[in-house]
Amino acid sequence: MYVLEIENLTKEFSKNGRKFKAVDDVSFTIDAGECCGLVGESGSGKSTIAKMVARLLPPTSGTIKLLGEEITYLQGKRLRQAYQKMAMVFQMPKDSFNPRRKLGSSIQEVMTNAGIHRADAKKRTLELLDLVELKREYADRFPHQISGGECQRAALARALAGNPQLLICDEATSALDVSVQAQIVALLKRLQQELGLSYLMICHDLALVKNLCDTVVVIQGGQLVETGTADAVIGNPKQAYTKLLLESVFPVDPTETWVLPEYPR
Amino acid sequence: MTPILSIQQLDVSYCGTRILNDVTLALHTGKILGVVGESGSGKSTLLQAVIGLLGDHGRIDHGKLEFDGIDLIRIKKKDMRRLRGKRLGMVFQHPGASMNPIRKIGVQFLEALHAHGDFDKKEVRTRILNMLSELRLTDGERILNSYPFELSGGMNQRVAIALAMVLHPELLLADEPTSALDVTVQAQVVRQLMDLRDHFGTAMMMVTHNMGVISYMVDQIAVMYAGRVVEYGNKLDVMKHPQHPYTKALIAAIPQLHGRKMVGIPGQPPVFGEPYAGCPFAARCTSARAACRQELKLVPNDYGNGHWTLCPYGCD
Ligand SMILES: Nc1ncnc2c1ncn2[C@@H]1O[C@H](COP(=O)(O)OP(=O)(O)OP(=O)(O)O)[C@@H](O)[C@H]1O
Ligand SMILES: Nc1ncnc2c1ncn2[C@@H]1O[C@H](COP(=O)(O)OP(=O)(O)OP(=O)(O)O)[C@@H](O)[C@H]1O
Ligand SMILES: [Mg+2]
Ligand SMILES: [Mg+2]
Repeated sequence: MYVLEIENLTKEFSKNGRKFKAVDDVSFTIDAGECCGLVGESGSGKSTIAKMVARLLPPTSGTIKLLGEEITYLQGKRLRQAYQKMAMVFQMPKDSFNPRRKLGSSIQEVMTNAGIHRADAKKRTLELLDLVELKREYADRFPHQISGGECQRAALARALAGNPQLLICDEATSALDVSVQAQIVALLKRLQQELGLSYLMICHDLALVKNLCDTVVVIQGGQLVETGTADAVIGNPKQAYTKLLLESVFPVDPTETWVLPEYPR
Repeated sequence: MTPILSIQQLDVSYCGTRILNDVTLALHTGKILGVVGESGSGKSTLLQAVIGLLGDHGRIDHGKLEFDGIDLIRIKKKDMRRLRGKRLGMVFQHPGASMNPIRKIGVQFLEALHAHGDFDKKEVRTRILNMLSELRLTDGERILNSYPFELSGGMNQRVAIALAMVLHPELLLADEPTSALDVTVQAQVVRQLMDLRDHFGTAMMMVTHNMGVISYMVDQIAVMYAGRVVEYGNKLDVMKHPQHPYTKALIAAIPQLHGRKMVGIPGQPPVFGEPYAGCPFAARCTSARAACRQELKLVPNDYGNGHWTLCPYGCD
């Protein structure tokens, strides 16, 4: 069973009377319990795809199915029901928290909105903070009182509060140092195994994608260029653009010689 | 040679809770210092202290901060504003912090430039467009006509970098400047930053989690843990012969394209404000000894060539 099916998804924006396609006829699927990595150049339309799936942005054309149900044009109560099955961690976590609200209360709100009793929601909030390796004291902090990486973890805790089946992560680990990254990756893998959670992971770090994802979708200029299992796409890329991506990764060893690839203009 | 930036025994706190502890670092013209370390260890706080933007709750409790002989702690607000942008550039971790959300990008560039003198409008526009295209923002006209929300995360980040670079500052403080960029764009942005250094001798303090970027572009590395610099040295010494157990664990956690799995560090750093005995990493350190949790004095242990750590038991 597919958790997510995207078919011929297109998004057009217009600027000063000029139209351009940020997402151009993209189709792919995510199986239940699968982690799908979405990679590609900055500005290629990854966040736009994520926002359309999360129904934060209407597509120009195409369809989106969540757990078999088409959600592209849902409204009202049915849309709210669909919302409960997915959650999103945004690229700029600081913008996604209400600046005048304590983090704990922002996380709790997700649960009280879903009809969970306040006391239970409060208890669960603290457990979620444990889960993402944040100290419980952080429930009483405001978003501007924590570091970038801590905010990313708080956003993850809030996303998990609604027990989603699909978690959309837009650069959810990019503000974390590699050791905390490793902990979060272990957590995401555990949730995948224990709860069968599926992921759409937008991530620039190809080594991380290789470590975490089952499948990969590569996009460039709004179009899908290559897709397959993570091992196949990263281990044996077929398309020139995917190869260029892999050649652009800086080696971690400072004694390794590495030359900047030539980029087409 | 006197350093362009000198940080001495700096202590910083938020709302009375001590965050940075005894930070001493020096940066010379034309050098790039990479700052790495645990999330929440105080890296952004350190940069914000240097540029005088700690916010209402932040306070420098003790220490010295000097930029080209200017005392940055006692400097007048007005003089600091004049330094910022012109001689001191800053790229914030959160690109939104460098930009006004309700002004078009082009207007923001002009404002930034006009604050520091008169420029020929047309010439400036060409210069900005060139700069954007070097950062692989080829659709420059559209970008200058856009509001930040109309651009992708990585586009905003590059605009913030261009804003910080446009006046060729002598010191550039960059907090995670490439975290929202894909690897191809990242490689070119890193190239541009290095060009700025090569042509104008800009000194840089770069906070990044990307160890590949560190390996490629920096000269020295400072490793931070729980508000302290726990290891410092030339890039090769720190990357190839790390001496502090935290640095070793950090390097072991780097994800790799081919081969080994990522390993985290079990446990958590101490809570800021709660006193601990000995070394802040002791509770998570696999080679900790009894002394580490008790009377250990945190004094730099020298390995020569400027390489030092706060761990007295280097384990190479
Ligand atoms: N609200 C909007 N109005 C106009 N154009 C937009 C809007 N949102 C996005 N765009 C444009 O759509 C394109 C794709 O943006 P998107 O944010 O999806 O890229 P991305 O792949 O997520 O990039 P990054 O890796 O940098 O975050 C960009 O050219 C961007 O300027
Ligand atoms: N305004 C503030 N008030 C109170 N505490 C703060 C404030 N800003 C940051 N802190 C705390 O200070 C510590 C250091 O934060 P800082 O942002 O410097 O970390 P960092 O090393 O940059 O982390 P990251 O890599 O996650 O960005 C964190 O524990 C954070 O929660
Ligand atoms: Mg994006
Ligand atoms: Mg930071």
